Amino acid sequence: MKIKNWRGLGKYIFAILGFSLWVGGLLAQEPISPLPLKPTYNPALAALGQRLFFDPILSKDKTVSCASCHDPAKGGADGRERSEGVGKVLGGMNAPSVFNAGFNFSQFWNGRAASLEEQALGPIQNPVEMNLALSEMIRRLEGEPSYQEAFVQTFNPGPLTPQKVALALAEFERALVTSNSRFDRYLRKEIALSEKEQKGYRLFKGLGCVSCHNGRLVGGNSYQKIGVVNPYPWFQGQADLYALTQKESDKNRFKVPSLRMSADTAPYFSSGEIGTLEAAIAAMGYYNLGVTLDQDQIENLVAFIKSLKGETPAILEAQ
Amino acid sequence: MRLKKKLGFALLGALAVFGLFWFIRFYVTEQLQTSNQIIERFSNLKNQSTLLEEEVLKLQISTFPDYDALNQRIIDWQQGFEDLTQVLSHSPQKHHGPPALDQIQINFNQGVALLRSFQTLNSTLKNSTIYIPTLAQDIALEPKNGPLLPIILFMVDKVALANNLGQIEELSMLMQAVSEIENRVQKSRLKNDEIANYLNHIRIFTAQFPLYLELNRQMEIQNQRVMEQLLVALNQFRAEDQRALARIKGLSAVLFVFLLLAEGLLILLIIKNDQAALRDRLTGLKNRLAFLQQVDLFENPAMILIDLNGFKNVNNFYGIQGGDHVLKGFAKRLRDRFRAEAQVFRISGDEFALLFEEKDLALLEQAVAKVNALVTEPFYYKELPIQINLNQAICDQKPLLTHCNMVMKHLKEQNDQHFLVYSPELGLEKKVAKNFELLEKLKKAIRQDRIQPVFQPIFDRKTLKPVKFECLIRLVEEDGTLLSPYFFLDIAKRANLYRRLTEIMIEKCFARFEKLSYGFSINLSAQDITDPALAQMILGRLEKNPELAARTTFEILESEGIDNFDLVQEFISSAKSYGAQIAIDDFGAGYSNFENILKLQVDYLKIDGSLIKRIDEDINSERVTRSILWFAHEIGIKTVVEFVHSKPVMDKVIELGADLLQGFYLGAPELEIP
Repeated sequence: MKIKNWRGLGKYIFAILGFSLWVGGLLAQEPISPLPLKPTYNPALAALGQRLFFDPILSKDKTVSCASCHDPAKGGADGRERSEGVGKVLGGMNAPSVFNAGFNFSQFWNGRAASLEEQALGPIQNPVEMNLALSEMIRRLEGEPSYQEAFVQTFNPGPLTPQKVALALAEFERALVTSNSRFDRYLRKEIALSEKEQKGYRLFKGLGCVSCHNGRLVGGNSYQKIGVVNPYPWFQGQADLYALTQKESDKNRFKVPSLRMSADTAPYFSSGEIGTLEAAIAAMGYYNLGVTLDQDQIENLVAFIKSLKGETPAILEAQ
Repeated sequence: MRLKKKLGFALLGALAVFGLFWFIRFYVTEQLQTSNQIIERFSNLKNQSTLLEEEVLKLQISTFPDYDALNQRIIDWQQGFEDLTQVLSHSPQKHHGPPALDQIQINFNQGVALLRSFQTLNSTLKNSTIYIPTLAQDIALEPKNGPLLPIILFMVDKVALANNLGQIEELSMLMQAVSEIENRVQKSRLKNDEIANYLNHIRIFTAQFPLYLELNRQMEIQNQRVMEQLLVALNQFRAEDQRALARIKGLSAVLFVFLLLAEGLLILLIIKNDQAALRDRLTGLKNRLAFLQQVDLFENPAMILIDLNGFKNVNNFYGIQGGDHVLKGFAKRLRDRFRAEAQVFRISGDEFALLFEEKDLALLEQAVAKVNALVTEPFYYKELPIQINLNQAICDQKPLLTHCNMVMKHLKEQNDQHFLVYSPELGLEKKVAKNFELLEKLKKAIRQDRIQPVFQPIFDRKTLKPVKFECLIRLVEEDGTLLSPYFFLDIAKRANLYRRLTEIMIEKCFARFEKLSYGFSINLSAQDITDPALAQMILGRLEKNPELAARTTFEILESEGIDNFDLVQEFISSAKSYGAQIAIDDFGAGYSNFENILKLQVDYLKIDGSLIKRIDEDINSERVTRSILWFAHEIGIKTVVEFVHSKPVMDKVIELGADLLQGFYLGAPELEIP
């Protein structure tokens, strides 16, 4: 063999050794960390935010609230491919889950908002979402004595501003943490995973999924491209990073979605075109790993992803 | 007013210095605090940069990335940067332009953009590097792939090497291996998805890895740039800080100079004040205090005390200004003459002193002559010549001034020479001691009620029977002997006891004669009469007992001379209005002035004993007495003759026509009245 001449035996042994060490390293570290058991937030401010979140007063025709598209009962999303705004207009993107949103390193699919506060006022004004001018929003809230009172009580006396609305909404969202999932408890060594879950987690790491889906949110901490191995179709006008930078390399580059509540947030992908979790896993395998996952692998991965789902946040239980 | 103004200025100055001090203190504190805070935040930010770099390194070498920590590091850095910006914007140096922080932020933001790309590329690479061994394993498990296995494993090794060691040279071998496998697969017609996928990932790795390395290099450069700029900014800030400190130093120097000046001024003032305290204002000579300081410095000093004789009269005659003119002139002559030999002082009003460092009697006597020579020429004041005489007391035994004062007193009392050298043989100390003894005796006598009047009868010339008594003061000694006022009146005056003696006499005599029907006379001096409280007391007594008042005669000593004529006249007319009578005592001895007698409207003249003593033998005494008696008769004033000590004297004065007679021949002073 020609190749045999390329390397001596020593090098070969070195390679094996290095490889073993590498695999050893693979097993040693956990790239996913548990969510905090108790989120920290200001209860009064969060309560005001909660009221605003569920109130359709924030949409032009008072038919849509934040919760219309980020329904806690539907994994913090809306179960639709693309969200329906005022006047039943369809939005451009699949609604991301509001759960654990505070842990995202940026907001929106392409991270155009740096914080929850910055994000909160976006959908309210978006013509295809709630389509309400901020001045009108303030006018409406001021017209509601109970809101007036709540704002004065929560903030120091002063005019009601959009910033205060954003602060309240963001505080409520910070309370929406789905703690104590099976997987978190496994990480804290409280329970053992089921065989399927274990297999799924091993696959999740071994296939390389974890290189993008890591950290507390199992995602939500970097921008990545969909279609690394096999190209993913690009749609003009979608809210990827390209929409912000106009750089060719940013096409189909999105903030990695968190997998924490993925079990409940079908349909999937930024366009919502994938209907089931199984299909979504298979698609990711194809586009980003170039592999056709078999049924067994998918089932295991589904089991793992389901183990990531935590408990309903206390602020919603109280409701 | 001038003092108030000065004090005001001093206070303002002090306030200014105090204010400056506080300002500097405040400024320094503020400066140091801010400065420390800024440097601390700079170092924190540098630390954050290092941590960020570390985190990137960790992500590069770890198999499974976890970006949470990296995102947190970015947030921490940004927070550190905002902390720094905030404190810098509040720093006192902000008006000197903040360091190029904007540029640092821009560079950092560019760095963050690189980090986002790094995350994407890192995930892609890690995805492949994780997946490649998994795939290799799957391929290895397929027996038909056996021949390919060494190459497959070789590639895994290469990927690991490249990934872990950043060896870009390995990539070409990987590409060769890829084409080798492709060749073989094609030849053997092995259609294998896993191998294809494996090759895909190798291709992705090979394609992306150089980009990854390049990106890492860029990130490193970017981070280096941020770090460097932070350092530059820190140095720039430190330079500002140094300048600010220099300003503080400048201010401190100003304060220091200020305080130094103030201190200097104070020292100057103290010296000037001290000198002023030691110098006589009028003559510019050193004063008594300076003398006392100076005399202590010499081991064997000698001095001459010079007294301007009768200088009081110069003042009275030429006025204070005339007197001052003489003092200045004399001081100048003295200073000019003795500049080389002795120190010159003005000890008191009309007393000057020459202080010699070494005693030398011959020299001192020469000096006395020189001093006398100084006043042979008169002083001229407004072209009037003023002639003065001097007494000089010379002394070379400590204590100089005390000795000289004694000598001077002695000279004045003797009044027969104009200079005298002190020596213990003069017995001056004994005299002083005797005076003290006498004073004690007097005080004790007053305390123990041993000041008593004695009564000498005054006889009518016709009946030769006592008609009234003169009350005379005596000190009854502890053994019962009577001491004449000659011995204690002088000391009583000096010790301010004279008034007390007069009070005692008034009390006792009034009390005694209340019970008798005789007339009586009491001696009063001009000093008594011009003492308002005493005069009031005497007049009060007269008012209370008009019968007694009519029997009272006040004998006023004429010999003393009357300075305040008006007050004396006022007292006399008041006393007379209560029925009392006035006699002029010792008439003919001193400043006898007929005009005054007329003005005062006295009732009696008592002719001085010195005229009577030898009137039976001395024709001149007889003539003077006769003329006085004649004058008294002419104006209707009764006359009393004292010192009638013999029969011939008595016969003579009766012959001359005196109204009343008094003397030892007729009756001595007795404690009791017969």
